[in-house]
Amino acid sequence: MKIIYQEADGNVCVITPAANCSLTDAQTALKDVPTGLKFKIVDDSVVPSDRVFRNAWAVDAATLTDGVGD
Amino acid sequence: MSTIKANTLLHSDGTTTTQPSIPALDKRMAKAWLSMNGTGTVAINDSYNISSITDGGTGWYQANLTTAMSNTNFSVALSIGYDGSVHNDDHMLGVKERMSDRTTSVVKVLCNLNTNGGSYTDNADVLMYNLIVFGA
Repeated sequence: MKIIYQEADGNVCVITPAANCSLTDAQTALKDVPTGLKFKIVDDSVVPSDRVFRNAWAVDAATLTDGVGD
Repeated sequence: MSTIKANTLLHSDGTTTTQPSIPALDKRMAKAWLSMNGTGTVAINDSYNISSITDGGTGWYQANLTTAMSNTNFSVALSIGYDGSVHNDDHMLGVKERMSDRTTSVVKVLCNLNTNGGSYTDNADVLMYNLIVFGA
Protein backbone atom coordinates (compact mmCIF):
# COMPACT_ATOMS: atom_id res chain seq x y z
CA MET A 1 0.00 0.00 0.00
CA LYS A 2 0.98 3.62 -0.49
CA ILE A 3 -0.07 6.74 1.40
CA ILE A 4 -0.53 9.92 -0.60
CA TYR A 5 -0.65 13.47 0.69
CA GLN A 6 -0.13 16.94 -0.70
CA GLU A 7 2.13 19.62 0.72
CA ALA A 8 0.99 23.23 1.01
CA ASP A 9 2.78 24.16 -2.21
CA GLY A 10 0.93 21.43 -4.10
CA ASN A 11 3.81 18.94 -4.20
CA VAL A 12 2.57 15.35 -4.07
CA CYS A 13 4.29 13.03 -1.58
CA VAL A 14 4.04 9.25 -1.56
CA ILE A 15 4.76 7.22 1.57
CA THR A 16 5.83 3.57 1.39
CA PRO A 17 5.29 1.78 4.72
CA ALA A 18 8.04 -0.62 5.81
CA ALA A 19 6.88 -4.23 5.58
CA ASN A 20 8.81 -5.16 8.73
CA CYS A 21 7.25 -2.42 10.85
CA SER A 22 4.58 -3.47 13.32
CA LEU A 23 2.43 -0.42 12.63
CA THR A 24 -0.64 -0.72 10.44
CA ASP A 25 -0.77 1.41 7.30
CA ALA A 26 -3.32 3.67 9.01
CA GLN A 27 -1.07 4.07 12.06
CA THR A 28 1.90 4.80 9.80
CA ALA A 29 -0.12 7.43 7.94
CA LEU A 30 -1.14 9.18 11.14
CA LYS A 31 2.47 9.17 12.36
CA ASP A 32 4.36 9.99 9.15
CA VAL A 33 2.04 12.34 7.29
CA PRO A 34 2.84 15.89 8.45
CA THR A 35 0.51 17.30 11.07
CA GLY A 36 -2.72 18.64 9.65
CA LEU A 37 -2.33 17.30 6.12
CA LYS A 38 -5.00 15.05 4.64
CA PHE A 39 -4.02 11.67 3.22
CA LYS A 40 -5.33 8.75 1.19
CA ILE A 41 -4.22 5.11 1.46
CA VAL A 42 -4.12 3.53 -2.01
CA ASP A 43 -3.02 0.37 -3.74
CA ASP A 44 0.53 0.32 -5.10
CA SER A 45 -0.82 0.19 -8.64
CA VAL A 46 -2.30 3.68 -8.29
CA VAL A 47 1.15 5.26 -8.15
CA PRO A 48 2.94 5.51 -11.54
CA SER A 49 6.23 3.65 -11.90
CA ASP A 50 7.36 6.05 -14.65
CA ARG A 51 9.12 8.87 -12.78
CA VAL A 52 10.27 10.93 -15.77
CA PHE A 53 7.77 13.64 -14.89
CA ARG A 54 7.66 12.89 -11.15
CA ASN A 55 7.62 16.53 -10.12
CA ALA A 56 4.54 17.14 -12.26
CA TRP A 57 2.41 14.57 -10.47
CA ALA A 58 -0.87 16.01 -9.22
CA VAL A 59 -3.63 14.81 -6.97
CA ASP A 60 -7.21 15.95 -6.45
CA ALA A 61 -7.18 17.17 -2.84
CA ALA A 62 -10.84 16.24 -2.52
CA THR A 63 -9.89 12.56 -2.77
CA LEU A 64 -7.60 12.66 0.29
CA THR A 65 -10.28 11.42 2.64
CA ASP A 66 -8.71 8.67 4.79
CA GLY A 67 -7.46 10.87 7.60
CA VAL A 68 -5.27 13.75 8.74
CA GLY A 69 -1.66 13.53 9.92
CA ASP A 70 -1.21 13.80 13.71
CA MET B 1 37.13 -10.41 35.44
CA SER B 2 35.05 -13.07 33.78
CA THR B 3 34.23 -14.16 30.27
CA ILE B 4 30.78 -15.09 29.02
CA LYS B 5 30.73 -17.67 26.28
CA ALA B 6 27.42 -18.21 24.57
CA ASN B 7 26.10 -18.89 21.08
CA THR B 8 22.87 -16.94 21.46
CA LEU B 9 21.93 -13.93 23.55
CA LEU B 10 18.21 -13.25 23.95
CA HIS B 11 16.04 -10.84 25.89
CA SER B 12 14.51 -12.38 29.03
CA ASP B 13 11.14 -12.61 27.23
CA GLY B 14 12.69 -15.24 24.96
CA THR B 15 11.86 -13.54 21.68
CA THR B 16 14.27 -12.60 18.93
CA THR B 17 12.54 -9.26 18.37
CA THR B 18 12.98 -7.60 21.76
CA GLN B 19 16.56 -6.40 22.13
CA PRO B 20 18.55 -7.34 25.21
CA SER B 21 20.00 -4.21 26.77
CA ILE B 22 23.77 -3.75 26.77
CA PRO B 23 24.11 -0.18 28.07
CA ALA B 24 27.86 0.09 27.59
CA LEU B 25 27.52 -0.77 23.89
CA ASP B 26 24.32 1.12 23.20
CA LYS B 27 25.91 4.13 21.51
CA ARG B 28 28.00 1.92 19.27
CA MET B 29 25.00 0.23 17.70
CA ALA B 30 23.02 1.63 14.79
CA LYS B 31 19.62 2.97 15.87
CA ALA B 32 18.20 2.70 12.36
CA TRP B 33 19.23 1.76 8.85
CA LEU B 34 17.65 1.75 5.43
CA SER B 35 18.31 0.45 1.94
CA MET B 36 15.82 1.65 -0.68
CA ASN B 37 15.29 1.86 -4.42
CA GLY B 38 14.49 5.37 -5.66
CA THR B 39 13.74 4.45 -9.27
CA GLY B 40 10.57 3.09 -10.86
CA THR B 41 8.27 2.00 -8.08
CA VAL B 42 10.05 3.39 -5.01
CA ALA B 43 10.57 0.56 -2.55
CA ILE B 44 12.32 -0.39 0.67
CA ASN B 45 14.88 -3.16 0.10
CA ASP B 46 15.43 -3.73 3.81
CA SER B 47 15.47 -1.66 6.97
CA TYR B 48 15.60 -1.48 10.74
CA ASN B 49 13.58 0.95 12.89
CA ILE B 50 12.10 2.55 9.79
CA SER B 51 8.31 2.95 9.76
CA SER B 52 8.18 4.29 6.20
CA ILE B 53 9.89 6.28 3.49
CA THR B 54 8.47 9.36 1.83
CA ASP B 55 9.01 10.05 -1.86
CA GLY B 56 8.86 13.84 -2.05
CA GLY B 57 9.77 14.23 -5.73
CA THR B 58 12.72 13.48 -7.97
CA GLY B 59 15.73 12.82 -5.74
CA TRP B 60 13.90 13.69 -2.53
CA TYR B 61 13.77 10.80 -0.07
CA GLN B 62 12.70 10.92 3.57
CA ALA B 63 13.24 8.21 6.16
CA ASN B 64 10.71 8.09 8.99
CA LEU B 65 11.95 6.35 12.14
CA THR B 66 9.64 4.04 14.07
CA THR B 67 11.20 4.81 17.45
CA ALA B 68 12.37 8.41 17.59
CA MET B 69 15.83 9.45 18.70
CA SER B 70 16.09 11.22 22.04
CA ASN B 71 17.46 14.38 20.42
CA THR B 72 18.52 15.71 17.01
CA ASN B 73 22.26 15.43 17.64
CA PHE B 74 22.44 12.03 16.02
CA SER B 75 24.89 11.07 13.28
CA VAL B 76 23.73 10.00 9.83
CA ALA B 77 25.79 8.12 7.25
CA LEU B 78 24.48 8.29 3.68
CA SER B 79 25.46 6.58 0.47
CA ILE B 80 23.97 6.09 -2.98
CA GLY B 81 24.36 3.49 -5.67
CA TYR B 82 23.81 4.23 -9.36
CA ASP B 83 22.62 2.28 -12.35
CA GLY B 84 25.45 2.08 -14.89
CA SER B 85 22.93 1.86 -17.72
CA VAL B 86 21.42 5.21 -16.69
CA HIS B 87 24.38 7.23 -15.43
CA ASN B 88 27.82 7.27 -16.97
CA ASP B 89 30.74 6.47 -14.70
CA ASP B 90 31.96 10.08 -14.95
CA HIS B 91 28.66 11.56 -13.82
CA MET B 92 28.80 13.19 -10.40
CA LEU B 93 26.04 12.01 -8.09
CA GLY B 94 25.71 13.44 -4.61
CA VAL B 95 23.47 13.04 -1.59
CA LYS B 96 22.95 15.57 1.19
CA GLU B 97 20.64 15.90 4.15
CA ARG B 98 18.45 18.99 4.43
CA MET B 99 19.01 19.85 8.08
CA SER B 100 16.03 22.20 8.33
CA ASP B 101 13.79 19.15 7.98
CA ARG B 102 15.56 17.01 10.59
CA THR B 103 13.54 15.99 13.63
CA THR B 104 14.04 13.18 16.13
CA SER B 105 12.24 10.86 13.70
CA VAL B 106 12.82 12.35 10.23
CA VAL B 107 15.87 12.41 7.94
CA LYS B 108 15.22 14.03 4.54
CA VAL B 109 17.82 13.97 1.77
CA LEU B 110 18.26 15.23 -1.77
CA CYS B 111 20.22 13.42 -4.47
CA ASN B 112 21.81 15.58 -7.18
CA LEU B 113 23.37 14.79 -10.53
CA ASN B 114 25.96 16.75 -12.49
CA THR B 115 26.65 15.34 -15.93
CA ASN B 116 28.85 17.97 -17.48
CA GLY B 117 31.33 18.94 -14.79
CA GLY B 118 29.95 22.46 -14.71
CA SER B 119 27.85 24.34 -12.24
CA TYR B 120 24.51 22.94 -13.34
CA THR B 121 23.02 20.18 -11.24
CA ASP B 122 19.62 18.58 -11.24
CA ASN B 123 17.72 16.42 -8.81
CA ALA B 124 18.13 12.74 -9.61
CA ASP B 125 16.56 9.46 -8.62
CA VAL B 126 19.08 6.77 -7.69
CA LEU B 127 19.01 3.00 -7.91
CA MET B 128 19.96 2.58 -4.27
CA TYR B 129 19.94 4.97 -1.35
CA ASN B 130 21.35 3.87 2.01
CA LEU B 131 21.16 5.45 5.45
CA ILE B 132 22.56 4.51 8.85
CA VAL B 133 21.75 6.39 12.06
CA PHE B 134 23.89 6.38 15.20
CA GLY B 135 23.20 8.34 18.37
CA ALA B 136 21.07 8.51 21.45
